[in-house]
Amino acid sequence: MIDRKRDLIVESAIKRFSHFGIQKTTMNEIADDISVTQPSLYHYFPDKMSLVVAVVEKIMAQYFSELEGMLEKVSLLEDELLAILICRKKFIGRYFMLNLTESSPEAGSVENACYGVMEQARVKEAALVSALFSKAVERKEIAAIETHKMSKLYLDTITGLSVFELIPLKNKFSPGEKEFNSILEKQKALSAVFIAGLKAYDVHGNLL
Amino acid sequence: MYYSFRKGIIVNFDNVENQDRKKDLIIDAALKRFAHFGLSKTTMTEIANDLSLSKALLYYYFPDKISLYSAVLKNIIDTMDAEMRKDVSGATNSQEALTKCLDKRQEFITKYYNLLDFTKITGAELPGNLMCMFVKAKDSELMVLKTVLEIGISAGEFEVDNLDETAALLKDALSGIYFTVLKRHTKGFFPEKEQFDSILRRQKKLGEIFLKGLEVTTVSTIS
Repeated sequence: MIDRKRDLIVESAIKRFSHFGIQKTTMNEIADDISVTQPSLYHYFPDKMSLVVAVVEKIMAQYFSELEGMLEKVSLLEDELLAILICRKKFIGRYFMLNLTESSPEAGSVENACYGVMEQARVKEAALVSALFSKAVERKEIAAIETHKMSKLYLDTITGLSVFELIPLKNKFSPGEKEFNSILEKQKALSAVFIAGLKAYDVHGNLL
Repeated sequence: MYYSFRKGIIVNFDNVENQDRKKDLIIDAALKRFAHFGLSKTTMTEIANDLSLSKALLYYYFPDKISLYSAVLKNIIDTMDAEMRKDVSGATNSQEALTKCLDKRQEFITKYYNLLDFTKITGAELPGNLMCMFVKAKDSELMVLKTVLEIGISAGEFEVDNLDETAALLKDALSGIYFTVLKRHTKGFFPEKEQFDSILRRQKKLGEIFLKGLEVTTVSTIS
């Protein structure tokens, strides 16, 4: 059952958080935006952190639903991985103000509170990539690899690639299209080599 | 633990003739301290005491802790670089060369991990001379990876259109693995040995796939 009011609060919080960031948003402002009384707001979310978790959950659900839509339109592994990269870029850009790595007094507790949700999302994304790899194995696009392990390796690698572009900007105002594009270009180049490399194994997982 | 630092390292500076030698002795002593206690929990007084040296003289050579720390990092980077080059030069194919390079790097990182606590006191803004050391470490790694690729090229494994770009991509991909694994699993204190082992295993796998991938494709131009 969908709770309309709860949903409304989360939607409103997403707008505030993604514009002003978590730290610069107060529970009062969120309540005011949608004319909800404070007791009512606190009934649904006893503190800001519980609201943050709900927001991150919702964003992750959106990410997967958009991604699945994009994946339906393509059929080659290379295009599928590209869809993931593009979808990631879109979401990171859209919700960068919510980024959990910002160094504010709240950052640590936000990160801890969201750990479970983020971990779930990582597992889900890895399962999705693993399924894509398996299909590519069936289509003989790549060798019969350990798809589960490879999907995690692939995702960690492309995530790691974004780190180096974003670290110098830590504590600075949000990065722009330029940084995100340069990340995407690197990830695309890596993906091409990665997929090519995955063709080079025999059915026992040994190098040819 | 404290006592062991004081034993054995008694240096008579009067007998040491050149200043570089003195600097080296200070760096050696500081390295022991930093490697165990990290940057934040090591004081210049302790280092001076380890060497039975007056603080004034220590400050003559290194005006502050960061400059001494930078010198220690430089020393480690140089040693690692030299050892890596030696190991890599003995390899006959790119996979072997990369394995040797990753093994050596791992050995150093495990050994000196405590030394890398600088972020806790300096935050995001690294002092200039410390920043230089990171650029140096990065350059050294890039050069070694270029050598790895060159070994592959001369062994006829693959051709590489743009050596610099390809080496840079490989470097970022490999070090990114560090970041993602450590960030996820380190809660507060030191990473465990298993984590380093797991990072190394995954770096090796990634490197293997990457080098194999180069046999059939080439790294497209990165703007």
